[in-house]
Amino acid sequence: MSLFGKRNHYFSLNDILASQERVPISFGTPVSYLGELDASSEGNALPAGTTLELSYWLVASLYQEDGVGIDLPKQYKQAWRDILAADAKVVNLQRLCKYFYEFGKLVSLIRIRDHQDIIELLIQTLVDRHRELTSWAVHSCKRDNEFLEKLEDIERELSKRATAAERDLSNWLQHDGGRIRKAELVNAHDRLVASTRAFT
Amino acid sequence: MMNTAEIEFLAEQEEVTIIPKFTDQRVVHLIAGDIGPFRAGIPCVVPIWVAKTLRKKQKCKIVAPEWLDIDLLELKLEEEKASRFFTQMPSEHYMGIAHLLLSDDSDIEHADRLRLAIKNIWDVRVAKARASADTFLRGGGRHAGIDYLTQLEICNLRPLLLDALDTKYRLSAPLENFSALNTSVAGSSSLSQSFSSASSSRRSQ
Repeated sequence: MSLFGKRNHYFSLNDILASQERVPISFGTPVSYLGELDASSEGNALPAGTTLELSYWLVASLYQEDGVGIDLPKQYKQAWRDILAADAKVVNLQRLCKYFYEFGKLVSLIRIRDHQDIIELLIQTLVDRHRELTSWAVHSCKRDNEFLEKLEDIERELSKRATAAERDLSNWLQHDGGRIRKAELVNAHDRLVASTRAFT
Repeated sequence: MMNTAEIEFLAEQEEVTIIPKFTDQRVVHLIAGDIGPFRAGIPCVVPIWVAKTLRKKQKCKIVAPEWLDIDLLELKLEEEKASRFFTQMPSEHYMGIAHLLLSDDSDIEHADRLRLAIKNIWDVRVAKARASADTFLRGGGRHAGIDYLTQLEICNLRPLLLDALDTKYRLSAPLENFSALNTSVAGSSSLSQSFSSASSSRRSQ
């Protein structure tokens, strides 16, 4: 099963959490009744020119309204693009944005202008960091948690799967491997046969 | 997705020569083929799992396959090192068979040297596989042809390469397939469509 496929079902926590990340948004016109979004504002309405950082899921339903401007979150701006292009391996993505890739994908959907740039940034970052990630996952016998702490959410899952495969192999080499179990399909079939027998 | 234990199971189907220490003229008929008859001292070809079972009961002596030979393996290692590509292995399950036959109380001579030679070849090949996976990921090609990778190597490489490729693909998948609220692909089935519309209404509330 693919990683993304498994992550992004309706109740996927990672997906919901990724859409909680904040996006800077500015209002060109006053907005009535939304004063409580801005803790520092007085009164019921947001005055024109207010700039806020709101969760992505709220911004996504506002971005097509008139007078609403959306800015890129800082990690996808030029300054960070340059840093990531220089050496993506040393960046602590966990601290920068816990859902760097997924959130980036989401942001690219509401910033059509920057869509291509963001996607290219995400892919380049992934590819640049991948080699480091694999060599860490493969030699994880010397538990270097410093590196794990730099990984972003998807990368952690990638490394977890790679480590599991490596552990499976070294277990097999040292001992006799695990037991082969029946496929889930066969189990289901057995249960079906047993239950039909019970009813006839 | 196969794991090492399942690949070992497949490796056990490969054939090996044994020298039985008993005589039994009966032939065992199995789906995979017939086994026997056995005559003491006369070499006989059986699947590895039979050989291992008989060996455990002290009823036979396992003869090393031709390719399980120090000089040959060292030659193979040099060839593997010299080539940019993968070279053909003497057996599809070289690692599995070596692991099965070269246990501590093995009949085969120089078992530890053989084990080391096999491990060296494995290391060279896996390092090569990882490097080429990385090149492939960087290059952004659509396909790559690799010959002569064995199953165990594929199994070892899979999580590293496929998951990364999958993530990369999902990131670059076209815009129209996505709803603005969810990175899951909408529209592949009516169920996922209703899911994503449900999630839009949930989150905009």
